Amino acid sequence: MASAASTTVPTAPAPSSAQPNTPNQSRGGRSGARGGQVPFISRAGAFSFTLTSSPPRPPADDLGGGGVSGHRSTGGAAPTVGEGEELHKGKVQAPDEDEDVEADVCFICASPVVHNSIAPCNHRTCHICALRLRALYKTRACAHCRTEAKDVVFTDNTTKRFEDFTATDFEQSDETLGIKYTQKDIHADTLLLLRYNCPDHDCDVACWGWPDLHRHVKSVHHKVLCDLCTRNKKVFTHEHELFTPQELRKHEKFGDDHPGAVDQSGFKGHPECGFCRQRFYGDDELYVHCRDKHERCHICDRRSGGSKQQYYVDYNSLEQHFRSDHFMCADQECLEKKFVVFGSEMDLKAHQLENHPNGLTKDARRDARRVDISAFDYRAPHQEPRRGRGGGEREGRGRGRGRDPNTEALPPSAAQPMRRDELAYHRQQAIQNAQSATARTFGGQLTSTDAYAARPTSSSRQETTTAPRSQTSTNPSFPAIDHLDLNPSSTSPSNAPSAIPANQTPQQQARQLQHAAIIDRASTLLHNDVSKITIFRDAVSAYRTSSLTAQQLLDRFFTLFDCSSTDLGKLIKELADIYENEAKRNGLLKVWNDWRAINEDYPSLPAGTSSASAGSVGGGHRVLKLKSSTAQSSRSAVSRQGSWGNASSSATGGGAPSSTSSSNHFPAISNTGSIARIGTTTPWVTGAASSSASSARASPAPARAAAGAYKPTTSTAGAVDMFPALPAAKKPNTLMAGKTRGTVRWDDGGRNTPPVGNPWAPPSAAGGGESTALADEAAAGWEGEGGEMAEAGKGAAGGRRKGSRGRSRCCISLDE
Amino acid sequence: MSQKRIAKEFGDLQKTPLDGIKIILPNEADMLQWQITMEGPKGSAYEGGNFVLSLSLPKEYPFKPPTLSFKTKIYHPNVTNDDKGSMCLGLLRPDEWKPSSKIDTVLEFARGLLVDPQPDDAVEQGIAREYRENRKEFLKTAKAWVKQYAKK
Repeated sequence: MASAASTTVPTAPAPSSAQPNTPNQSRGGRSGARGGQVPFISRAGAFSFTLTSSPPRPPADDLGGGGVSGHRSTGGAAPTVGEGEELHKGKVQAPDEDEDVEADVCFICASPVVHNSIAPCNHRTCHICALRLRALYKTRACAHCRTEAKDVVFTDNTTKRFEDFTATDFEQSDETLGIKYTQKDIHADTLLLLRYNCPDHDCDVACWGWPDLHRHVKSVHHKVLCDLCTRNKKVFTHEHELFTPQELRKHEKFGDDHPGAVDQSGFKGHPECGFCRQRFYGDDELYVHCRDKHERCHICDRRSGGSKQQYYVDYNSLEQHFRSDHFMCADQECLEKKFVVFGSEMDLKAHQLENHPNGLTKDARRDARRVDISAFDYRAPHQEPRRGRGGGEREGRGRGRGRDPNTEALPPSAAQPMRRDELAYHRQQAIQNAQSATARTFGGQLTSTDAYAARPTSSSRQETTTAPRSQTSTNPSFPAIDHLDLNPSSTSPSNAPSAIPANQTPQQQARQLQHAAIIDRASTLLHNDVSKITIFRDAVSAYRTSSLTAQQLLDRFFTLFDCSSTDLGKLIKELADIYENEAKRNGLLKVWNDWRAINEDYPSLPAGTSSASAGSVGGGHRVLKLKSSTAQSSRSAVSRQGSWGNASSSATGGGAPSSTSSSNHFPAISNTGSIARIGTTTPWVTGAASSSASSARASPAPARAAAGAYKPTTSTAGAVDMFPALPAAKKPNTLMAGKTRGTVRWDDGGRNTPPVGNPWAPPSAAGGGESTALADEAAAGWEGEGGEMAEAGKGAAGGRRKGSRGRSRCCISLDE
Repeated sequence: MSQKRIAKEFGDLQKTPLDGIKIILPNEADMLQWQITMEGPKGSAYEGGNFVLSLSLPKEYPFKPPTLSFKTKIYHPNVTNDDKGSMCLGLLRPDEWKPSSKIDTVLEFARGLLVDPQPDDAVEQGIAREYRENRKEFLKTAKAWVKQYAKK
C-alpha cells in the first residue's frame, strides 16, 4: 500500500465554479458579489458602467428598469431578479412587445419554438427548454429571470399571458413536473421527450428503462451507450450518443472532440481516479470521489494555497507522508486520533507540552530516551563519566537528558523546553534512520547493561516511526466452529453443530468454512429469522438435488431476502462457489447474471411516462422528428414498443386517448396508474427527490432501498391479490420486477393479460414473448409501487383520476 | 443542443460587434472556445491596452455558465494574478447564471469591470486594498502593466 500511496492523482480535480480561484478567494468574493453584481447585470445592456459599491437588489432593479424602456409592462407575477438583464435581450425578445418574434425561435436554445412554455413571470421559452430545466436540471427557475415557478403553462397560444389562463384552459397537468398543458397533444409531445427513446436517428423504439435501452442498442444497433453519460449527463435519452466499443473507449479517455465536426461537443473525456482506475463523469464527480475516498495533506494544502492538489490513496499512505515530510506526534493516543501532525518542529513541541503535559506519556518518554541516546554520538568523547552515571539508572537517564545531569529532579516539563532545539534535531534524525543509527551508537559506547536497557527502547521507537501497527496482530478470526451448523450441499441440511473433526482434509475444512460464511451472510440478511433461514437451507438443498431449478431458487431468494441486490449478489456468488457440480454452479450464476443484466441499477429516467398518449405511432413519429431524422420507421416497431410504453401509459392514464385508465385493466390494484406513470417516468424527474416517489421506477434496486419508506408488507396486499402465484411479496419490488422479467410468467396470474388488452395491445401481441415479458415486468413493477402508494396512504380505486391524484401527492412530497 | 445557440450568438456578434471587442475562434471547428480581444476602455486605467481573453463555453451552455479568463496579464482586483487570469464575475457563478444571459452580456460585464473594479468582490485582496486606499499607486502599477504586457 505504501507504494501506491505516494502516487498522486494526475488530474487534480477541483470543485467547479465559475472561477477556478482559490476557494477562499472566491468565497470571499461571493458574498460581495451578490450585492455588487446585480447592478452590472442590469446595466449590461445600457453599457454605462458607473458602478459604485454594492447596492442591494431592489435598487438594482430600479436601475435596470430605468435604464431601459419599460420593458416590463408585463407586471406579471414576480419578476424581481435580474430584470434589467432583459434589456439587452430585448432586441431579440422582450416579454411583451416582441412576443411574436420570440415565438419563432426560442431565446434559450435558438431552435424554432414548437410549443410555448409560459412562466408566471410571463417569460417564454420553448417547451423543450422548459422541460429540460424542470426534468433534467431539476430547477424550476425561469430561464430568463430565475424566478421560481411552481407551475408553467405549455401552450400553443403565443400571446396569452400567464395570469389569463384559467383552470378550464388546461386539458392536462403534470404535478410532478409542474406543467399545465392547454392541449393534450402538447402533453403527449412532452412526455415523448421523457421516454427512453433510442438515440439512433432512424429508430423510434422507446425502451422500458435504462437496462432495456442498453440491451436494445446493443442487440439492434450493435452499439453501446456511455454508462457514465447515461447516469449523469443532463440530456434527454434520445440525445445520448451511441458508440461502438472502440469509440466508447475513446470517448471515455479523450472525449468526443472531432475537430471540424459540426456536432463536436468539447467534451474531453471522463477523468479517471489514478488510484482506483475508475472513471467519473466529470471533474466534479472525481473531486467528490477523491475527497471521500482518498486523503489530502492539510499541511501541504495550506502551504500551497490549495493550488496543488495531491492525494494519498489512504490514511496509511498519508501518514507515511506525515512522517517523512512533517512533524507528527508520536504519542500513541495521537496516532490513533490521526491527523495530529504539524508543519514545524516548534508546533509539534508546543502540542506535546500542551497535550502531553508532565509530559510525557509512556510513548513520549520512550521517545525522549531515544533521543538522548543518539545524543551520545556527540557527547561521548567529552563526557564519558556522565554517561555512565546516567546509564546506570534508567529513570534518571530519561529525566536527566537535560544539559546538566546534575540537576537531578528537574521535572520533565521544565527540562524539555530547554532542549527543544536539540531535541528537534535529534528527533528528525531519528525519524529518518531510526533503528540502525541508534543501534550503531550503542555498539561502540555503551556498557552491556546500557545496551540492553536501550535496545527495547529503540525498537519500540521504530515501531512508532513506521506505522501504527496493531500491537498484537491477531489474525482475523475464523468463523467460530460452532457456526458450521449446516452443510447446505447435503440433501438434508443437518443442524448438527459439528466441530471440525481432526481427520478432515484441509479441503473439507475449507468447504466447511465456506458454508459457515454463507450461512452467516444469509442469517444476517435474514435478520436471524430462524424460520427464514430454514427456508433458505431447504431451498439450497432442493436446488442441489435438482428439485428446484436455478430460476426457482432465485425466485425463492427474492421472496426470502429483503435486501439490496448487491448483498444478494454476494450471497449468490458465494453460494455458487460451493456447488461442486459445475452445472449447478453455472446455472445459478447464469440466472443471477441474467437478472442483473436487466435490472442493474441505473438512475431512473423521468417520465418516460404515459408514453405518447395520442397513440404510439404518433409518438414514434414525433420522436423521429425530435431526432430530426427523416424516416419514420416501420410501424410495427413503433407499435410493438408502443405496447410496452403503453402498458405504462395506459396505466398512467395520462396520455391514452381512449382514456384507458389502468384501473380498467387492473381493477384490483389501486393507484397502479399513477405509479406506473411515475415508474415509466424517467427517473430524472423523480430521481432527485429523496421521497419514496423516487423509488418509483422500473429497475434500480438501490434507489429503492434508499426510499426506505417502502414496506414490503403493505405491498403484499395489492400484490398478492393481483398475482396469486407469486410468493408472498416481502421484498423490494425491484426484485419482483427482475424476477418476473427473467421469465415469461403469464400463467402466474391470468389477470396479467389485461394490460395487453389496452388500446395499444394488439401490436404487442404481435410483439411476442419479449413484449409480454416486459409487460409482465411492468405489472410487477406496478405491484410494488401499488404497495408503496397504498402504504403512503394514497389508497384509492385506481381510476385515472385517482392515479394522477396519487401521483400528484407524491410529487408534492417531492417538491419539498 | 448548445450549438445552435452558440452559433447564433457568434453570428450576431460578428454582424454587430461590440465596441472595441473582437472575437475569433482560435480553432474554427471549436465553437466552445472563443478568443476575445478587448481594448482597454477609454478613461480607465487600462486605456491603450489590448487584452486577450479566453471564453470557454460548457457543453451544457446555455444551461451552464461560460468561464472567462484573461490571457493578458492585468493588474486588477477582480482578476487572479496567476497564469490562469481567472475573472471573478458574479454573473457567471453557477447559482447566479441564467440561461438567458448571453455572451455579449458577459463581455460587456467584463469590460465594465475594467472601468470600475469591484474591490469588494475581489480575488486579489492585495490589489483591492491598494485600489481602495492608494488609488494613485494602483493606477501607476496598472498602467505600467498595461505598458508591459498589453501593448497594442
